[in-house]
Amino acid sequence: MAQVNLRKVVKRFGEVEVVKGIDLAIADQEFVALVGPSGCGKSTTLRMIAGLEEISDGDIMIDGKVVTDFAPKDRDIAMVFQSYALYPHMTVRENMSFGLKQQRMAKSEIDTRVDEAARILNIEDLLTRKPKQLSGGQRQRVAMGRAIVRQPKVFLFDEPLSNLDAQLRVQMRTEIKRLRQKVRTTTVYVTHDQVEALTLADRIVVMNKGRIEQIGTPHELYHEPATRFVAGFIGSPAMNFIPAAIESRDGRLVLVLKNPDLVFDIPAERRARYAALAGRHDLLLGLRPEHFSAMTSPLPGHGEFQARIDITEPVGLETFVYFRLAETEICARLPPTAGAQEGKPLRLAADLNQMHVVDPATGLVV
Amino acid sequence: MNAAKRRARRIRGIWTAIGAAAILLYSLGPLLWIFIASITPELKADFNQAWLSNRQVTYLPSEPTLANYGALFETVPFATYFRNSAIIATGNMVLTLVVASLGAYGFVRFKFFGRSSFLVAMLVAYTIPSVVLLVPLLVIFRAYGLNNTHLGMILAEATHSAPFVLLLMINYFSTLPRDLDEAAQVDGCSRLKVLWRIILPLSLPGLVAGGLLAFIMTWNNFLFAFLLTSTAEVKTLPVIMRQFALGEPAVWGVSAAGALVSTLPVALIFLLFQRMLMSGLAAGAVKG
Repeated sequence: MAQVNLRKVVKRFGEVEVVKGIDLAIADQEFVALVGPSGCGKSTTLRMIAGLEEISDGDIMIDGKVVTDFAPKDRDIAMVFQSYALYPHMTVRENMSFGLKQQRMAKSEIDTRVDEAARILNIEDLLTRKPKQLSGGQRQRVAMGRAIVRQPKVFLFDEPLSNLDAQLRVQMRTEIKRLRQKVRTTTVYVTHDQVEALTLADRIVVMNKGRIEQIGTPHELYHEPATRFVAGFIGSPAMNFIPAAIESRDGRLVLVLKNPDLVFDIPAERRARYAALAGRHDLLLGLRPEHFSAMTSPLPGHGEFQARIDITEPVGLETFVYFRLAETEICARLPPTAGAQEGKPLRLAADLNQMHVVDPATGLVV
Repeated sequence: MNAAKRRARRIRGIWTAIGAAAILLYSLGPLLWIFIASITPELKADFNQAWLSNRQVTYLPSEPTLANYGALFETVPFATYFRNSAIIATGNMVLTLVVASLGAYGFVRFKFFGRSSFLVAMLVAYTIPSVVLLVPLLVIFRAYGLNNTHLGMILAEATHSAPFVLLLMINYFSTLPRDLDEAAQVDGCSRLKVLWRIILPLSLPGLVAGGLLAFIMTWNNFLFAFLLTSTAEVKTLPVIMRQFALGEPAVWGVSAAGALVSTLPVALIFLLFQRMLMSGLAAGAVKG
């Protein structure tokens, strides 16, 4: 087990800089997820930690040792690939013991470790099979088994669940979490699926265009996003961004929306934070879908308005409701009992205690 | 309607069978003819006639004999030629596979300066007719004392088999996912070990196809063997076959026996490995 440190790591492919000098410190036994849209540099970063991709600039340290120029085999890491990359000509047992054989470990020790990993992953019956005789989920387990038996300093996962169908993905996510309770090795996990990141990781690194947007716990990223990108990327359905102005009126600090013209009082505890923005008309109000509710009686710190519902999407426990506010399509997450009907007006309240304000000039959440 | 269809299908089947039989006869006819010639007793030479007329056309010998096969090994050092062919063809096969595997792995998995130029050069090397290489090879071989050596012959043969098998292996290796290499690297392998433990075992059909093609190319090649060897210690089967055919008088029976015996290894290899050979050659056509 070990710490992983990235210092000003840069990756260039020819003229194109895909990773732009990132710094990242991963603690011992920590589970860190790298998330971001396609092409944000998350996989490249993982591959640089693995040694499968050369680093254009900067340093990578594992367990306090600079490994920048080390071959993958000398970094004491194990990796689970999106395609699983099981050796087709070897049985499951041979696949899992391959890495240990390279270390010239005693056969008895290899067998013990493989059997133990097979037991943990519930694949004891598959040890004599070849990969092509396995289902997707079983291959996934074998790929993880191959990583576990090595008992490396660091686990690297490159979108390990992407090739599974939705149901199996949820199941394997829980399996990984269970495995995590037994094996506390430092882990770097790349995914484009924010739910995986939120459910599995101790900390999440959100990447965008080769840079780190924010590093934080799942709770921090969800409730205190640092940038508009993070606010929009984490959470599903995504956060709504509504054009808004902040003004001082009669000693009050208010949020002004246009079409329909709405004026909401900014809650007292938020006033200090947004006071400096008074007079700005180019701001974005960020509100998550769950921070809208069907209006029953006036609530403190809520902005009330009436909206004409365009679309309703009932998904069982809740209903996604779409309407327009300030010339923007908004999604709200309401209970099925809220009485939202397509084409009909509905009284709604926005919980301004949960609001975010984005300065479009900087892209930062204020 | 159904009956008419069935009849049409039967007639089509008959025509197909006739066509196939014709092709088979055309392909096997010469082989059959050689076999008949090989069991036909040699006529005593009649020096009153032109030498070509010494041999009468016999469709089926009245007294079939295996004497020609015996003569093959008694009158000429046929066994030595056979051994030479085997050494040179096997040697070339091994050399070609080593060069082609290493080269193809380099081309497929590494990016380096001049990669595409090298690839084009390989292609051009393959298209150069062997005869063009003869004079330079002769000069080089004389300088290094490689004339009349097995090693020399192996090196000469590799000049045309290696580029071809290299291209075949490039095609084969390209079908293997790069993730496998990377998984093995993470598992503790060097690049060479990845090639040895992962890529080559997975490329067995390709290796068999490439190896056999290299073997057969050399086994049948006359030009290099004829011009780069002058002693019986290194001469190969195609050279002795020519001697039989041009001898005075030409010993047709022995010549035919020799031709059959030299065809045997190649035919056997084809029979044994035909499935692997076909899948190896087809690789890359359809990505699986």
